[in-house]
Amino acid sequence: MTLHKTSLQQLTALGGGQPSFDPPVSTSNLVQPDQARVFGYLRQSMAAGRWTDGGPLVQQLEQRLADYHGVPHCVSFANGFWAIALTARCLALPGRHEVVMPSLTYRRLADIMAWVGLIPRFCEVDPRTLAISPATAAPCLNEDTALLMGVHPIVNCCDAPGLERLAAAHGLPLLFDAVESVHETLAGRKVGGFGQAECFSLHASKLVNGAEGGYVTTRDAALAARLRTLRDGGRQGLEAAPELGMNVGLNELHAALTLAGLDDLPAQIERNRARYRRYQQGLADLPGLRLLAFDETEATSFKTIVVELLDDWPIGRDQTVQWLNQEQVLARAYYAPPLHRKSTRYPVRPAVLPLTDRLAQRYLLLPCGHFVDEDDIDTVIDLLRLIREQGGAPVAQAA
Amino acid sequence: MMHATPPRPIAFGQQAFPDAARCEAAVADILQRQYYTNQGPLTRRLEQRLAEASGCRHAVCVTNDTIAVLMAVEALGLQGAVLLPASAGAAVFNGLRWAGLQPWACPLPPGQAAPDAAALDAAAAELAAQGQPLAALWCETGLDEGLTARAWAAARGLPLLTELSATFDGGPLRLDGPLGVLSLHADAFFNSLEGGCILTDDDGLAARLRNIRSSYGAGPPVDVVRTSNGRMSEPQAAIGLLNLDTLAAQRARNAARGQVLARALAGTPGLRLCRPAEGQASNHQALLLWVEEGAFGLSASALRAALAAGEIDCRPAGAQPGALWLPQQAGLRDEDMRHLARCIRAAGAAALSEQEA
Repeated sequence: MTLHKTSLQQLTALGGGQPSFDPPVSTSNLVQPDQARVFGYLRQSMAAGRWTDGGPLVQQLEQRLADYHGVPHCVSFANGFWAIALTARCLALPGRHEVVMPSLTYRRLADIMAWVGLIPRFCEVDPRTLAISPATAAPCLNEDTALLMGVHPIVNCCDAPGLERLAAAHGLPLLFDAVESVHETLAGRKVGGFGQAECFSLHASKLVNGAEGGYVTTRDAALAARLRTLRDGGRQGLEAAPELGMNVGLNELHAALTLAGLDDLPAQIERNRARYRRYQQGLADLPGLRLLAFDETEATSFKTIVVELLDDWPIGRDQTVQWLNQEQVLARAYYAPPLHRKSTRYPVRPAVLPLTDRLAQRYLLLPCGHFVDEDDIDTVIDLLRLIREQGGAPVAQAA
Repeated sequence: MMHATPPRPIAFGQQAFPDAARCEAAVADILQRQYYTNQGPLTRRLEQRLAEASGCRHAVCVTNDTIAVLMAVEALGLQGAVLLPASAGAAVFNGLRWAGLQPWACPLPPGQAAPDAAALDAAAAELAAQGQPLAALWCETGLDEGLTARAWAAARGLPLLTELSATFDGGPLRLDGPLGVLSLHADAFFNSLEGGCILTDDDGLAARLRNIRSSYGAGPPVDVVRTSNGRMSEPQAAIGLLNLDTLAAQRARNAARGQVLARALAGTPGLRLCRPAEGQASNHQALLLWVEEGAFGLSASALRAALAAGEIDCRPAGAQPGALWLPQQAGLRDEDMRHLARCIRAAGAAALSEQEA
């Protein structure tokens, strides 16, 4: 059910009664895998009697993802968090302690580095891409840098070739968090083949819904072999796993969901594109707000909708998110607070990042994904228009 | 040798899975509900049922057993070394190390299922000599009741952490320390394909665990040093819920198969099979075989290799030399256990003959 509101006093946040949406609309993808396809895959596992520890579907999935990303190797994991942790542990230069990474990114990325024993040194992002770049990372590199952590932003990609050149010039390993750029190409190269490795998530909210899961792509056969050994975690015997590993493999159920999702991916991207076009059309004449445009000269998934609130938007980003949330429009702030602003009880290098601070107050994610249709998008845009047109005036709350 | 039914490959671990129809019904239910992870209704139900079944106030489920261990010790804020039986599994060794602790393997006396007080004293003395603070004692029950471990930890004021995977049979569990851990890996008696569960009666500890696991289902925010992710998914929880209904039958079959194996191995020189004592809390999944090379003819590792050549999968007993974990798989027939025993005896006999030749 949706309600169409025409005045600010009708907003739930201002005492206006029922929210616009019931149930809520969110920013999570939550694509529904096709049941028949899932069962078709599961029957392979059942026939083999293998449900975990590298079963037939996991093997099939790893080959398929390697092919999809145009790389020779893919290693799957129970989730993206520990995929990044194990890969960072493999790549970090011994005897060094810092990881250079952006602050405007996934809220748990610094926690991952803490588990690996690396100290985050946060860098600025490029204001055009909202991503780490060679120019923003270079000033942070020093003799104690163990790893350069590239992160693709939510819309489009970071300058991965530039980061490759920077890492090579400094003799540093380069690892990417590519969770938000699964389908993208950059300068014609598929994401998945940059740096020493790239990490992805199969969480239900991501492009491909495996319920939970993660994977790493790489061109490095030795790294792939090492990751497989670490992933096994010594389950076959401690002597076979002298390095610190973790039993963090992907199970067959999650692999079945993922394979079914890959089968549907072209159709999903078309649906995503249609939602994006609706936002493009509806927001085109709404001043004070800018839709981040997907680079359609490259492959893109059109998955996530991000807007920037400009200086003439009548209220702040956080208040906008709050008002929308009260309408059960589960918009989210874009990576806020940034990581360098969070107090931690593990070591981080203090950072002064004025650009990141400013950017962290301007962007938000709007509803998208499986549960959002074009009528929902129209209602969301109408709410934004309401805020734009009336949000700057004093409001008498409804009795 | 003639067999009543032909021998077949024997995989390691309980490997108990619901039948295809129940699996598919569970998956269909999840797809229809469209709730895939993030502390969904099935995960909440599994946690509730595990808490009720075990008699513990809290059951915190996660995606795998190593993460369960590292979260457990992280939530306790332990620093230093943890004494554990050398036969402990890789998940325990790895989980402790990820959390920054040093696992210190305490050897088992030959033929026994757990370290005795003398072995624990000796291991603690080694740690002290190296200037390593001892933070906790890890014990594993199911083959051993844990009496020695309880008394030893209590006498020293150390927290006792208990691996309960070989004990849990769907009924109440005893926690003699702040928490216990269950592996829910497919090899374990009770599984959710992959998974782990931390059991505790401590409300504060449970709150820290949920906040370390983070985000959904975290409850009231509690300050933690770092989050670990590790959510259990709805498909995993669904498998766990289906398997919970089968545990009594699984236990009975395990006990019966263990008895068959014990009878078939009885009298074999150089072998000692550790099984739970009569009336001991156990699910009878763990079968620890001690191999004395001189009398048997083969080392434990050589026996493992010989059995592997016959498609029988055994596992080393952690860091404990001279011992193997034997398979105890759901669906194995009594004849399969007799076949296992024949293969073990034949391997030893062949080695002894070769030595005499």
